[in-house]
Amino acid sequence: MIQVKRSHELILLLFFIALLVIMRVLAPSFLTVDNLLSVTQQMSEFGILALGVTVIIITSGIDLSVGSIAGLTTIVIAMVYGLSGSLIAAILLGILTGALCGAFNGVLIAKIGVPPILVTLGTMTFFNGIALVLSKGNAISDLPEEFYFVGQGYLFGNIPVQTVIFAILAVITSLLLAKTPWGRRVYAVGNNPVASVFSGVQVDKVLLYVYTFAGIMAAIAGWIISSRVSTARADLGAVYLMQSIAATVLGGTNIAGGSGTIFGTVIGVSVFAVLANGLNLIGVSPFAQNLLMGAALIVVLLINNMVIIKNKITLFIKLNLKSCG
Amino acid sequence: MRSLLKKRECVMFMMLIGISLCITIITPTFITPSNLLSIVMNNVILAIMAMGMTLVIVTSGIDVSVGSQLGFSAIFVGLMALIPSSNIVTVLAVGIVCGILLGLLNGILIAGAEIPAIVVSLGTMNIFRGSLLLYTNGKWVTSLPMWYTSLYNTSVLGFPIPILILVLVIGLTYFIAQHTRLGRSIYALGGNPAIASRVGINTGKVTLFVFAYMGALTGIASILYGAQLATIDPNAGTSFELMVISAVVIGGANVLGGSGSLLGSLIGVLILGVLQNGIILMRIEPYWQNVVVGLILIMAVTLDIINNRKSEERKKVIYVAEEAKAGVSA
Repeated sequence: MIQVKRSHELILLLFFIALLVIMRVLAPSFLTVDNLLSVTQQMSEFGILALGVTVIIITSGIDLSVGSIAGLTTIVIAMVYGLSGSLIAAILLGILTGALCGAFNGVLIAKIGVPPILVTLGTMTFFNGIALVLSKGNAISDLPEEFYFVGQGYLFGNIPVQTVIFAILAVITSLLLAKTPWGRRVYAVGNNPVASVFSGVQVDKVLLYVYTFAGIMAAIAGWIISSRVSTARADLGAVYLMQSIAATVLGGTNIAGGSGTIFGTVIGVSVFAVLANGLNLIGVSPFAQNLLMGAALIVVLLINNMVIIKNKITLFIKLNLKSCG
Repeated sequence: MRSLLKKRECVMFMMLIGISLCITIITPTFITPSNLLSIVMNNVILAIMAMGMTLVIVTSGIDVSVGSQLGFSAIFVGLMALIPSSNIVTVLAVGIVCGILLGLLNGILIAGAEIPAIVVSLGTMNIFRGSLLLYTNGKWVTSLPMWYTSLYNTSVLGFPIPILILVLVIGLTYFIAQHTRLGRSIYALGGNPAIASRVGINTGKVTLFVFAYMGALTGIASILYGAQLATIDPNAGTSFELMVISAVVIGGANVLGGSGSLLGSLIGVLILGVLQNGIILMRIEPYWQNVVVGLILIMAVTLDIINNRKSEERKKVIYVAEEAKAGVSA
């Protein structure tokens, strides 16, 4: 199991390095410090979403509602600020909203046992609906100057603030997964929920925390997005949903649960960000980026499943030869 | 098992009636024949695609690329219709072939390379949309010929063509699901893939068929899509896949595979259609639609689980025996 996981990360890392080299050759301005920093800025928003999604997919779940939670958070932050005038209260309430949304998913999944894909399909529409009703479908843009710091500001001269936040959150999540009992339970639940029950793991509690965690990550991502674009809108997070799941899977997290690392997810997210940025620099139509991102996901998984495909082809040839002879 | 399934459809049907009654009380115009017809007409595309999606979900697969497939086929159907010598037959052929090819690509990756369906279709969703946008350069297909756009409003034998097509699709899908070996294999594969392959079902072929069929139906739907709107946007069908999946899930199909009925999915489509129509008629702000649809989805799946658990506890032994029987007969 561990060997498989490692080989995937190795393949992905090689793929990533090859991608960097290709981009360097095609667009000389790609490998400059400034540009690389802007790549990290572009990747941190959906990278943070992907952190939560990774933890969920490790438990063999899935969360389709993270984009809607991010959108709802932006609306809550803007409205609370409009009502109270306190930015800190607004942000805290925004993140609390994310946590509550995540916990709502978690309760339905962990306590009642509804399959995650169904719950989150429903809550995706539901949370988005709440955000639309609250904002009446409008974009809210009367936000204070200080609010823009997270999405548009820089630390130490030229390091984007959101990059720092992403790095910190990635390290925290990674440590939580690798070094704490909670992390081990997350893997255990994903590997074999029945066996985990018998080894004394409270599966429902683990799942509840996992979905709450993803909700908080989605809220933070929403906060950063709305700070970057200086507005709050219900559909702000929606575009990142499929991307964050795709990046997680690209990073080697098994969609059937039980394995996956934050390191892999960060590489997966980087591959997408480098593709988008590099292709932009080369002057490739933005439409091609979509195509290449999809292709990257499929190609890496095909390479990963090469053994299965080889076996199938040899079996096919054998059977056909038999019927001929 | 049979009675259980029937019960589920019954519950959803009652819900549909309940919603319709509420809307009728508030706005009596809801129940007029012309309005009811328009609800059906507006949801023909959704219903056609829900038929294919039901089979996909019954095999425990999922296809999130159908929205992109719809846009892809619709554009090529539109381009075909623009060629002066084209007629209904060529347009139909282009739509169906286009859809089948896209579906087959999904099927080959899922069955051949054993990549999970959701991951494959996530990837192909981007590939289809990206290549379509690249090919059209984001341009719309407009000024479609009259003979094509009038397809949507023409009636044959007193029935509008879209409804005739829908009836044909429902009939064909019902026949495949209920009266062929293939249909039984589909349910068997979803119920338990390991056992299905032990009893000699070629699971790869069944998966291929299901995804290709989904593609073919999307192709048919795309023909109606272009005819209905008279202009085709290369972004057509974006996030439509979620509507299709929602309808099927409200209709009671189990995403873990093995169960799901066409009738249920049709009821799911109608519930979504009636809600959409009713919210407009009742002059409720359209933003409420997502709240209501989301709540109904959550309620439907939660009640399903609670009911299942109850009946499971009540007759644990019978349940196991029936399950085994259903596995053999399906």
